[in-house]
Amino acid sequence: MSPAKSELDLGGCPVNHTDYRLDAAAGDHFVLIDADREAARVCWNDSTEHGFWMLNRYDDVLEACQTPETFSNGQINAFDPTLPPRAILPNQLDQPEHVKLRKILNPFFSPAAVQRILPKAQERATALVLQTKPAGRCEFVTDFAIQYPTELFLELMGLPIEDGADFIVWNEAIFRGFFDTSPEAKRENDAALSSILAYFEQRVQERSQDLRDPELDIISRLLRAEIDGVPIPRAEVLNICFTLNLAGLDTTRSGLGYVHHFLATHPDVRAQLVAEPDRWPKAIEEFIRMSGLIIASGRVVTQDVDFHGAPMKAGDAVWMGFAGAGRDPRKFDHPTEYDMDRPNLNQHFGFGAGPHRCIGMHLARAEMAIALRTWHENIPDYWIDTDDPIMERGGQLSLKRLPLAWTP
Amino acid sequence: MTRVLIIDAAKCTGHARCYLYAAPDLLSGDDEGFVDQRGSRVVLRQQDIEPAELAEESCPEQAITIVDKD
Repeated sequence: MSPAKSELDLGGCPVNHTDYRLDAAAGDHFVLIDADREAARVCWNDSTEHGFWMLNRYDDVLEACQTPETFSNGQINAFDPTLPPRAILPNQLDQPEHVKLRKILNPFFSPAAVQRILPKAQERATALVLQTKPAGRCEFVTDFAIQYPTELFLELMGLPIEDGADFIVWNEAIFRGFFDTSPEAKRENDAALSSILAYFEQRVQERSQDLRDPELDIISRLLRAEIDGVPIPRAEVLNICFTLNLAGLDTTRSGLGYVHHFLATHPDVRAQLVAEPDRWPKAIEEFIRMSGLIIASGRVVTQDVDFHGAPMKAGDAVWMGFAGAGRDPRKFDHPTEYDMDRPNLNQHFGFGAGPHRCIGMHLARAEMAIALRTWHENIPDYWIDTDDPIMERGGQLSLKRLPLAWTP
Repeated sequence: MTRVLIIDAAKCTGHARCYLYAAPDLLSGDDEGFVDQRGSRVVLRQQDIEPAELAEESCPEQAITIVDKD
């Protein structure tokens, strides 16, 4: 529990006790978020050691994302605003530094760059689906959803695909450590973090001896890039590699999990997409809106400010409720229902908002479209293959297991 | 009265929302993701107004503004 803020400190804002780090049945976090968004415009959540302000309404989240001088990215995890500076890059940078690094990185994630990686994505998706299909069943999260983005990340970075198995184990421990403060989870997190940074240190060192075309190779570009005439420090190059891994693997895995969970239980929607595969991009956009996996990003307040009645103090952590904002009835009609023809389809916060908007959004969309289309061409009918409840990890949502079965 | 769309080249980092989703008939992008029209003024025809306003609204960097030019 956070140190109590007195009622005076809260300016009349209610106190919320929901601990969003806990596991729950699939979809239950969205039910909680929808209720919190409607209960109060701004509230104070005291479920963590430090506590944090919660914003869940569309206009408020957008306003805060577009006011980075007040809502700084110095801290990006509202649950635990104690990250060392510049550990997660470029996420933890504010302007003007952020824009300089984004201009170096963005070309690797531009629509044109995504086009270059699509043949490889198709190749990996086809191989994985054909490898999975004959058994007639799989644990989708482990057997498919995490394998695919891990292989593509390594491809994108010009690293050996065989290294993927280690990444999957490391990332599991790292995400657990973000939201689980037990000593055991912290130890595992620290160990995984050391391993992954040591891995990148070795690979980046190798690349520095064997530079590739910096227009096509991210690591080579980072090694050669200068910001204001100064090379990026090697430790920060490693942090950038680490962050790209962190950002791209878990999210894509989770996204695929939620889509398959929905489609396994909504055969009418699935049949429509199987019949009209050109509609996948719209469907994916709607799934991302409905099931915002990064339920919130964090910010830290830079100066005392009254934000719509909430007396925020410098140093307070703020929850930017991306998932709640994407399901806000003030912005989206019938927000809890799947509707890929809604007029404001891509105005959700599934990729955040403002300058820190997800660098990988075009890549994520394209990766998902290829995987989903390929899966459904080969396995159009499937169902959930367990009587146990499907559970989701708290903190940053992801289905823990999704056993599926089909007629091979 | 003519309306003009202006893209601040220093602010554009290449999110690509403007030319990919908001105003694909009006704006375009280069290989690195940046909008081609950054740093220049784009005179808007009547049919461009709505997509241009969407581009202004959806730019993550708030690099796009629409101004009146008499």
